[in-house]
Amino acid sequence: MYKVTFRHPAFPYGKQFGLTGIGAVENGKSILIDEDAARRFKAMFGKTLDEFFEGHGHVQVEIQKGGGH
Amino acid sequence: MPAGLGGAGWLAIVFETVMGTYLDPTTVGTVWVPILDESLTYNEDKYYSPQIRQSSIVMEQKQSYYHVAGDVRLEVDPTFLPYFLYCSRHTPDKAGDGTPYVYNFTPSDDAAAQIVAGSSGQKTASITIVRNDVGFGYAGCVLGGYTFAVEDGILICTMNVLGLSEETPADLGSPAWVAPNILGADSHSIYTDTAGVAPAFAGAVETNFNGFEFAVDFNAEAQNRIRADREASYISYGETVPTLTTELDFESKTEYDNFKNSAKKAVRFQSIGDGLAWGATQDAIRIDMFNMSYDEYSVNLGGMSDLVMAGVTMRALGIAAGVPYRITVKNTTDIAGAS
Repeated sequence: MYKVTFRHPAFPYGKQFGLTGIGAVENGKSILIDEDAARRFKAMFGKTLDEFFEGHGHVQVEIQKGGGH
Repeated sequence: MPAGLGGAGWLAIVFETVMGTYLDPTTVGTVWVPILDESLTYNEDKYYSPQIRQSSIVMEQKQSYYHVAGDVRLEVDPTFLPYFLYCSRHTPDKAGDGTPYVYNFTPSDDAAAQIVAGSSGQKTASITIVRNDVGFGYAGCVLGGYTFAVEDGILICTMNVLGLSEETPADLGSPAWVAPNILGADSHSIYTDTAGVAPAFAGAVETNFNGFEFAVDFNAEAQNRIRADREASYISYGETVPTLTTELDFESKTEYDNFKNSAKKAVRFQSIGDGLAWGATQDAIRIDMFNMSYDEYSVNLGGMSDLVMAGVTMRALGIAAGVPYRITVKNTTDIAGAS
């Protein structure tokens, strides 16, 4: 399980974004990505979620306990 | 890589901290701006050596100075518009608490593009454009001019972009898009008033404008100086020329006489996206032109079935103790707050 958090300093808390590869996210909030969705993500982009968003200024990916890749 | 479609491309913009130092779109503060098309190109006057050496064909070519130039055309979205206007020959001003923020841009007399700290200072931008999944990074970007026009009822802006250099982005990151927020036919109103530093525009809405095009040309040029690199050294500005072009139903001779007499007037164009009054809107743009002079006013009989229209071009002039024009944008985007 992955926890993906999107934070953009210029936009109001809760403003909805469409984040490439993830879908709808709200500014300042987190969504959980389950293992099946994470596998689909890797199949599509060739990288795991944390690899893909490494260094992204607005997206933080945390691997939840019991999850992994 | 297979062929790609334009629709899969994207553009990102972020303010620079050092003019001309490219920041890729993983940088905090980057925004991804929906566009209609772009034509940014690498512009270099390559040097072809005219050596005379028993040949009528040039035998050597060397790299020379270059800069970036082209247009970005987009549907005006108050969410993103200030990012571009900050990177132009204006004095910006930001007010409000986010419900909404109010951005004002008035013309400045600066000789060259620059970065001034804070929300009341000009910026330069790094613009990234991805074409068929290939990233192109453009640094030191500012506007050499722009045009706001109502096309098919939609407010469209064409930005003429000049940049110092082209870079290859180290990382393209991943775009994040907000819902489109464009200004359609039911958003726009035009008012006129007597020229002055603060006209009230309290009269009735004008109803005879067939088209609206407000263009500002900063007469910007990329300047190359002798240094141990080839990119442009800075972007210079010349005379600022703001004009308004439209077509009016010809209903009386009043404005024709104003044209002949060089009588001045003020014009306001406003476009509100959320249907609220100006004081309450969080989603709007207003262009105020305070001292307009008719440059052209042509009225003719075009044909048996043609409406009698007046072709009009007006020019925004300076005004004592005031500004020639002001662009106001209201939105909820906290732009330049941390710069």
